[in-house]
Amino acid sequence: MAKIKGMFLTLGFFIVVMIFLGFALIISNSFKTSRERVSDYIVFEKVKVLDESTQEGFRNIFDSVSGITIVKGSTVSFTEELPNSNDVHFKNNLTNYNGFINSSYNININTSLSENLALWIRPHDIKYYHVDFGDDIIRVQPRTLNFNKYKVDIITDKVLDGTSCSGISSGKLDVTAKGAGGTSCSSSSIARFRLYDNADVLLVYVNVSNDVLTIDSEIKINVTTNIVSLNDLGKEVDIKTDDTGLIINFSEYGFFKKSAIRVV
Amino acid sequence: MEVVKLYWNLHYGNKGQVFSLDAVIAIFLVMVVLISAFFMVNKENEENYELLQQFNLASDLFTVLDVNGKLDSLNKNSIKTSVENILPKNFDYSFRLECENKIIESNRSVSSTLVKGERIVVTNNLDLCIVRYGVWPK
Repeated sequence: MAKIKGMFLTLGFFIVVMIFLGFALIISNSFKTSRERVSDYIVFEKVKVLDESTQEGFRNIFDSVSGITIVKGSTVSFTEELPNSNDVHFKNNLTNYNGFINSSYNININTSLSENLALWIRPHDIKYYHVDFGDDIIRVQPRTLNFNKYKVDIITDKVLDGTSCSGISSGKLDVTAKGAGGTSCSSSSIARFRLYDNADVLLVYVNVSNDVLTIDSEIKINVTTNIVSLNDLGKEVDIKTDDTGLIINFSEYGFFKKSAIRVV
Repeated sequence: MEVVKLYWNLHYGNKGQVFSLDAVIAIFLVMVVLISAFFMVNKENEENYELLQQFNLASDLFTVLDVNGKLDSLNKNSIKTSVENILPKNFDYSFRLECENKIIESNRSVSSTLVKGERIVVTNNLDLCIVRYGVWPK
């Protein structure tokens, strides 16, 4: 009987010691896990801050140098000179910026963005781009027609008259043109448009074919391209670069990210 | 003596008392262990939260300064004033702004801070810089 009691007592002590050890292990693991989670979080946040600040820097360069002004809302407007004379300056700044970031981090900005400077209206998937940035053609290419119409506003230093605006066929295009000395003209609900000066010299050709808008200017003009009344897709409208705009590769932490850069 | 033995019901020994005492000690020990465990875990969590708070505070601070163009001047005193206007008084700070042709550093070195952050800055004059920063309780 005494032996059995002794065994129970030993067993009791053993269980108590095991409980202590268990607690010690739990606490030790908790310390370790907690510290690891904090370290992970800080690394994630560091990468996030670098990602965001790189995009912020790109936006600063874009706003300062590209010569393109973007206004977004239910209608998105892009305003720039055509041909855009900022092409070389923008390309140089972007290359310089990429080199600067590269010298410290494994972050790459896709400098080929500046070749056509394609900007995507998301989530509507409408691409606004230049056939060759610095050249005289702008295109807007929607994946699906999820807006009401195009409206193009042209400002030129040529004099316009009553026959300057020539709209052909019916379509989802409105054009207004303002010339020197307060002259102006407009055409609405058309598919093709030509703008002539008062000497019948062709200045601008605008065309909508298969929902793709093309603006081709023979002379320097200021053009605002409005994509009017975007459908409400339940998400905020963003203007972004191509999906390969920014590449972040922190292999030491197992991070790889390829993403667009939000411009507006 | 017999009476006392009877009173304490020790006719069959003092086993009941020993077991009671054993149980009380066991409960006491378990309580001590539990309280110590909670105390230590909380202390550890507190330290971690402090680190996170410092990191987030520093990141938010320099994001606000960058977005609002307060780093654009590349002037040490101007940046220090902007930092001190935003940072809570019970925190100290350090920063180092490394630009292509210029380095601006606060009085304290960034390397002395426990948790450091960094961000890329493009000023309105298109100066390209990296700012490294940290904050900690005074």
